[in-house]
Amino acid sequence: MAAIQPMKTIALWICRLLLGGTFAYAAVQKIAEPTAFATDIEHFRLLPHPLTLALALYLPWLELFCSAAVLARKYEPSALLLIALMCGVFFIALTSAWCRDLDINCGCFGHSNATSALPWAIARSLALGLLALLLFKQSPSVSSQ
Amino acid sequence: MTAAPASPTRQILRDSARLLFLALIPAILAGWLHPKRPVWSWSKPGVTEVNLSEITRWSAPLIWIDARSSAAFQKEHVPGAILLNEDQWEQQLPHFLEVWQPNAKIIVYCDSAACDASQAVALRLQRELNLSSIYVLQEGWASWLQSNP
Repeated sequence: MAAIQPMKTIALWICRLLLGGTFAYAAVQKIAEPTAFATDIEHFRLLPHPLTLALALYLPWLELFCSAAVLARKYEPSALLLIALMCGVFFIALTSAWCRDLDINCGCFGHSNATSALPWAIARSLALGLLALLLFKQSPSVSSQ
Repeated sequence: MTAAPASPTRQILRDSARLLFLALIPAILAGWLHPKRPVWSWSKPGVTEVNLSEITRWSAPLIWIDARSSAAFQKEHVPGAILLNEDQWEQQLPHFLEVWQPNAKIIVYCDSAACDASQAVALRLQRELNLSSIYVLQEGWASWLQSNP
């Protein structure tokens, strides 16, 4: 039993690095190009124009703060919960775009010219959301409840 | 006397609010100072869309731009159309500049009404080359196929 604990700690750290690293990378790409990210959001045709502009400026910073919080283990449960919520929103938006047969770039990692496969982006957002929930459940303040 | 510690749920909600608020500060600064910040407007800037029957009435020379992928273009395209998409913008733009004429009307198309590539390419041409006679084909390639089966 004692041998399992260090393994679990290492596994949790790997998950933390994976989740925090992915979100930090995605955030930096989008922070660098807010106009391009606004265009990507616009292509989903879900929000009114002014809201897409506001979201393009706000969302990457929220991603960056949440990833930093996960990696620094400060406000960790809250950051994980927010990441899981964001992944849920991405999942819904991507699935709706896929159902409407939109030929768009997901904008997940900033504006790339190539249109990425939506099913892959849907699976990724689902996996990251589940990872965030798993880490959330393992947070000391949550698991001790 | 010390205050009782907040319940974990309340603490999580409080910290979430903190994170949400913290992200707001750089976002506002970015909207104000970022060199690549979006231009604020209430409505989406867009290029005028035209349908095929309208285009057939035009007397000005036409330049068709295919904003779809290279593979789709190779398979089939509007006769005389030029391939110009955002994937290979830098490589394809010189060819467009070679055929461009000041009196020509430019029509950009992509797959169908569900694609935005034509709007993106048309807007980019407007922005970067300051072109005015530029239009987007309504329903794109799908409408061309319908009229030219």
